[in-house]
Amino acid sequence: MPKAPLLAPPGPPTLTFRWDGAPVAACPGDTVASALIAAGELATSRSAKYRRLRGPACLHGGCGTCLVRVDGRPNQRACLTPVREDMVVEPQNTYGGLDPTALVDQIFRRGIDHHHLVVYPRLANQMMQGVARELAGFGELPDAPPEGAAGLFDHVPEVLVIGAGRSGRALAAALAAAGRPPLVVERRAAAALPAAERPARLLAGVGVFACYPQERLWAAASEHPPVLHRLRPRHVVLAVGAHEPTIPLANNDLPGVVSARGLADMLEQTGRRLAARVVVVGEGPRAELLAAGLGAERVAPARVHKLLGARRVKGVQLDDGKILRCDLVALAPDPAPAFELAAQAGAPIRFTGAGFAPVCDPDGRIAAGPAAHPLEAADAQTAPPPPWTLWAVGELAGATTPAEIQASVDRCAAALLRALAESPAPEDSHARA
Amino acid sequence: MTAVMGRPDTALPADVDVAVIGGGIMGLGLAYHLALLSGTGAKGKPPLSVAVIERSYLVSGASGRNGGGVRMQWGDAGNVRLMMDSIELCKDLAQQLGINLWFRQGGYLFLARSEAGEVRLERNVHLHAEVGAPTRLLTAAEAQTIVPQLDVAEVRLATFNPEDGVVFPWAFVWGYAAKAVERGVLLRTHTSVTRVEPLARGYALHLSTGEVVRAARVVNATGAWSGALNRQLGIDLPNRPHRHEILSSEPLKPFLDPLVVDLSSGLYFSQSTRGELVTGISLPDAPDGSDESLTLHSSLRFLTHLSRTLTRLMPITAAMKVLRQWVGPYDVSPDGDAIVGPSPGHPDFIQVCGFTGHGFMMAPAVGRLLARWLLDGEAHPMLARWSPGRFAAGGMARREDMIIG
Amino acid sequence: MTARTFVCRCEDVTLGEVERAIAVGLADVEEIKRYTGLGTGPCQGKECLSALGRLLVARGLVPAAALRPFTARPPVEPVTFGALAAGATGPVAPEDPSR
Repeated sequence: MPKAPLLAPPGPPTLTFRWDGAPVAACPGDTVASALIAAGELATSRSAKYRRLRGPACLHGGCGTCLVRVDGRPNQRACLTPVREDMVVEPQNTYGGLDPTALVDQIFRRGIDHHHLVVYPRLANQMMQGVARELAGFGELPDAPPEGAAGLFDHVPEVLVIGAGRSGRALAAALAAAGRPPLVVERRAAAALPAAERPARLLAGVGVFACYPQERLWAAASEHPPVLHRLRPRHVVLAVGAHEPTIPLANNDLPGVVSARGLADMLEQTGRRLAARVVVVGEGPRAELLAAGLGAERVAPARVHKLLGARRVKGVQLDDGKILRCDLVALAPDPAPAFELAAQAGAPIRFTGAGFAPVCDPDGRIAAGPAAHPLEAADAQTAPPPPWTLWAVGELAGATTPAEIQASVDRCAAALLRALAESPAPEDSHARA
Repeated sequence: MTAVMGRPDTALPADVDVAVIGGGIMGLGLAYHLALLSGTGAKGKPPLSVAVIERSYLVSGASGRNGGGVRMQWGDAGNVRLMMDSIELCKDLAQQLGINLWFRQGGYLFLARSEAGEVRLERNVHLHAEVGAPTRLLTAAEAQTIVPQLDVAEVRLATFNPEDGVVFPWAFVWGYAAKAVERGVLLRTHTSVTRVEPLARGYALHLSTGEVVRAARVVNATGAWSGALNRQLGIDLPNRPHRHEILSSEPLKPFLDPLVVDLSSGLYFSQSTRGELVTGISLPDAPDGSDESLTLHSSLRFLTHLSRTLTRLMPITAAMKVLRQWVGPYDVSPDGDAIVGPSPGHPDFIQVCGFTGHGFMMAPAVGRLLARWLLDGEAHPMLARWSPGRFAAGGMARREDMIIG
Repeated sequence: MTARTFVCRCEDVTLGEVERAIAVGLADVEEIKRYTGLGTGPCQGKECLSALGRLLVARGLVPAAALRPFTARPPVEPVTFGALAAGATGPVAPEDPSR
């Protein structure tokens, strides 16, 4: 039975791909996640332990539950994968509509303590381990090794900007206007960025995956084709934004429970419009802004008794018993800065109340400091002083509203340009190794 | 209900019979066996008072950072026998410890791509047959029937032992901890020993909390960090820390039963119960020199070197993704043999160190035989060989050439 | 369907499981991660770590100023063995490196 569409297309769909064997219509600009949500297909997998249905949630490439099999490659993020004509997309870790493993959730109502589950007797323990092994894991092995020539590139940019979101693009534009265009690395495809705002020097579809201070480099890679990039910049601007953490509510994992911010960005990027009832759960000015943008009713997390639904979310039950019917629940938590790369680079990390963030001055400059955990603290301290200056901008630097983000970008750009003015512009180098 | 596995606020008495420094698998396995043997009132002796002091959280050190391989395919009869004991103990250890250990006997598949490797594998199979370990020789084609995704073009010979396997390492530590605590062992976490002071009889341990605990006998179970404690007492032993890197991949459905080792490169890989490929490789690095410089930073060099070797041996992995990389310290002994027993000049300061990256798999057997020796003086052939005195006495001999990683 | 509140959806870690870990004396972010499995799945903690941090602070178990995240291990983005293999430049393999 076809499901009611939840998102209206910006124009007539011109693409078709296959989802779980059936055709799904999509528009240019759609990701697999936006096309599936539009079609009302919200569940893409079952969870490892309780075997509950899960689907795209953060819509931002951060969470782990929209992983699907695409053209024989397992564990591809539906929210970052652009739709292509005739692509074959399949759910993972599920045995079809009448999946008997769904009973696990019913049987173990009080939870599964996997450390102490069926330890005795030995024979039962061995059988349990066999079953657990089959139900864990996620995707199946890939069909084939990747196609396309592998490659290795070395880049020595004066300024590396990681992330081409709002703050990364604005910062790159400010530096370019002053004659010092940075190299911008963005994990999404170039098509996902507004055409007018694409930085001049852009490595798109390439994710910066680590900082290795002892090797004095940053590493980035693309999957198709399999290419590795080593980056040795003099300045690094982290414009990596924030994660949307979960809000602990009963049934916060139902398919159709998504990030409000992710949903808003997805609508902006795809040109789709909501054709569904949405309830935003969140508090504070940011949640209010997101709810207004989505035209949705908003409730505070403390008022929520539980989310309703079985195969997908159907509503929000409030503490007073009132039920708000809806097709999507959009969570609007306080964002948690994406501190991970900063931590690897040796930045001191503090808890902000919402999440973890690097300690930086008002311009966004990050000083090196002790590492996160005492056992591994010695590493940052024994590393040679880094050959780069590290900066944070936008949400990573604590900005949350568009106005604060712009102010953060302005201050960082001014300070960075002052630092650059002290030395002549060197020639950037980019070479195939 | 989950048992308590030690706390940062466990009360410690002023005097104990045995103080174990280091709450890794060696220290806790020993404490568990001491409690088990002495607590039963065997031979009419009163129960022993045992305290274990761990400077961080449980599984923070090498016990929480290893790949969880357990094998009897060694190149020396003593090690083969020891590991046969250890694997036998593993079979019902989950039931003894009351926690899932995820011990799965999928075998170890060793691959030789050189003539030297071939010679080692042939020798091993003969040796294993004498000792009673069920290892068999395989052709490259036979190896491929066990792991169909392998590219065996360069493989000259392989061996397989179906009794070898993999475990979930953390649960061993938690299991030993919980059962030791249940039997009266005092387990203090998040507390370090800042100074070891020799007394007329025994030692005074000065803790980071300001407390002092006196112990008739002290066990140094701090592995790669053991040198700093030893030097406080003027004990000069040649084991040195060495960074070993490892990674796990995205979780996939079960496709790989054995742990595979490529002798030529030191590459090893297995699939955990959760479906992750767990893999490491030898990097041609020297030991770090001194424990003060022991750092646990990950490197890109490891990722690239491992990935090239892995994707050549199993091409399908080129499309698989790395999820997480980390580092653990090996405690490397110059002859590859562990350093276990009374320290030179300090008979009541007992070493259980130097396991050279393979302590985890040996720990179930080592904990038992060391407890028997501490309580009753019961001898074991490996204890003579592992004597910390062997280096000064010129008794060092390299017997083992199947040290991997 | 059973009503469950998740802190980590990747590894199916519920609020109740985190509370059980706290009840047996675990208060360090690193040890709760290891005991519950929280943060060890495909998202590597992007969704759950801050939620755990908020919980520990709200319960008064760790002062906010002392709270630290678990180690941010590379890679922060999934990366294929195929792409990484392209970066190997040293000799292919040392011959039988037994020590």
